[in-house]
Amino acid sequence: CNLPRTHNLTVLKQMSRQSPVSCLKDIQYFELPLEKVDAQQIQKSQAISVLETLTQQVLTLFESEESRAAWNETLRLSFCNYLYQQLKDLEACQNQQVGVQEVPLTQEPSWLAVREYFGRITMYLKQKKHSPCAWEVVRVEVGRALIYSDMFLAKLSEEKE
Amino acid sequence: FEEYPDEPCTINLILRHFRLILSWELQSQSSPPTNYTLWYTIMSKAEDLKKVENCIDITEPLCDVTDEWLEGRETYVPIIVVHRGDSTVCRCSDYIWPTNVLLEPPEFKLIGFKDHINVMMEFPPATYKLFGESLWKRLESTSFVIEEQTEDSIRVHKPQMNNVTGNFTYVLRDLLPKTNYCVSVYFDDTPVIKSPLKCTVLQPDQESGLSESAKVGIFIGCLIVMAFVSTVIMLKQIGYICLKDKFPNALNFHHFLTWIFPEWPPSEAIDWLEVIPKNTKKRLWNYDYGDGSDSDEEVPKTSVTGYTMHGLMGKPLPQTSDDSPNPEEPPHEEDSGAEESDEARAGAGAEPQLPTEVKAGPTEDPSGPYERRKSVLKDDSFPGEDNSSMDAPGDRVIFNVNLNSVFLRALHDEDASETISLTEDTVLLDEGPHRTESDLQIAGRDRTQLPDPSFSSQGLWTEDESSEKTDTSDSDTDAGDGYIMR
Repeated sequence: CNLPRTHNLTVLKQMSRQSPVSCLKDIQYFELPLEKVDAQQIQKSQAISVLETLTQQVLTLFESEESRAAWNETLRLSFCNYLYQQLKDLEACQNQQVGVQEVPLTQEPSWLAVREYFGRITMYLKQKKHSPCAWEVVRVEVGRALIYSDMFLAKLSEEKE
Repeated sequence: FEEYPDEPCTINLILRHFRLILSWELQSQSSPPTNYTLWYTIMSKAEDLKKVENCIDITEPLCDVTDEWLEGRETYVPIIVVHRGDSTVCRCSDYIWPTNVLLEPPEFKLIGFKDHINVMMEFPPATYKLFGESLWKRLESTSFVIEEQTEDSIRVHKPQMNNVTGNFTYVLRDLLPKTNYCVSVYFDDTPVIKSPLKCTVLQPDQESGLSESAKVGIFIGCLIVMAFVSTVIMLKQIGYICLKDKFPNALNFHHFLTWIFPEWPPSEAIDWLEVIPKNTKKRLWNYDYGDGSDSDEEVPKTSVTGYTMHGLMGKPLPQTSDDSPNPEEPPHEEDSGAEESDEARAGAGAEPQLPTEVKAGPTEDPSGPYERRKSVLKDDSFPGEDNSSMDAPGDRVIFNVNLNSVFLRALHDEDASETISLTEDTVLLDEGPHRTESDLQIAGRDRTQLPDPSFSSQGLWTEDESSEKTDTSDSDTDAGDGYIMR
């Protein structure tokens, strides 16, 4: 596996267009499933599965038509390319896990829980009618999710060492 | 806060000396602000805004939030209220992820030596607890770099720093003396924040310092050696260490054996003589005349004659002394007369005892003749006069008696030479120094006359004449018999 130990959030940070003060009333708690996970209890195959699902869901969100209208096109494409490369690297790691059984859905965090998390985000955007503050809240939440997933990347790095 | 206008600004979270510092910079060119107040909230919790207690109405554009922002994975929304002198108020805000903190390098010190430099850094005792898991792992995953620079080169060192706490020292080795080295430290992160350069020149003083310690050691060693040598020399001079090769005479033991075992004096030569009575003398006389014709018999005859003549020469000595002008000579003449009378008496007394002794001769010990002489002297009838007269003339009496009543013969040739020497010794002991000289002259004359028989016969006649003048009638008969027989 050729993966960095942490996510590079520079581009995501640069995409900000609204003042946080003006959007304080739109703050929402989305219940990120990674918050409840003990990194020491995660196996390598499970970590890869969660990371793949998370990256795929973020990529889908920022490639939607509503996102194109909300963000600067150059920055959006740069962020999407970063996510696409990350996804390819994760798939390569998964292919190296020959004979590994698929992670059951009952084991937390599972890819199903991650998909449900992003379902709640999509519903929030619809309710807010894809307003600028809503997208700002979502941008910040995505950054937080990627930060939490750094522990999974670290897990892969540890096993690599 | 919705009423305050937004102020364009840049807000950064910085790890400075391992403390979380929120720093901001306003981008407007309006009048400078007078003070700031920091508020914040957390996005995911939808909580009310909080005010940081130690950052109310502050003048510096930074605030220590280490104790406030321990959740590294949360998204913080800081809101900075800016007050200006013209009573205007504005706000500055942004979204902050603690894991995106900027990593400033730690403080460090340089200690230069002759050929190496110690880089000393200070780390907090318990970093993990201060920043939480996520931020701590961020630090662990970031490499720490020490950059070593000279005028024409740069070297990078990446020390292992797992679980580093407290003071940490890294040594830059293989450096050139008298060279200026500059050092910078930083975390290998994006973006990189390097520390200011610190420089040091490896001075000769540092080299001399090492050499000084060596010099001190050498100096101390030299002092010890000098003290030891001086002590040895002093003790040597006193004589406690090196003994003298030449001992005083008192301690010279070369003649030790001689001192313990002194040399014995040379032993005296003793000659044994056979005593023959008169009766036997006649027979021997005839025998002697017959043997006189042979050359072999002349040798012992000559020696015998020499011995007898030497003894007889003792009698003419008073006549020669009369001729000398010394006044002491008359007393000696008187003594010689008395001695002659005593000799005659002693000779008459001894005759009846000789036959018995002669018979026992062959069986007696060699000391027998000496004992007989002693017994004869003791048996004299006049004890008082005999004692006084026998002391001085005792030896002479014995000598003359032998000549008149007995005939002496040497047993061996070697004994004869020894006899001659004994006779000389006796003469020397009896007489004084002046007479000794005269005796030597007489002895010399006798020895010179011995080879010629004619001279010896003339000498005998002369002696007969001198003896007739001094002796009485009785003594003349005895003397004539003795001399005629010869």
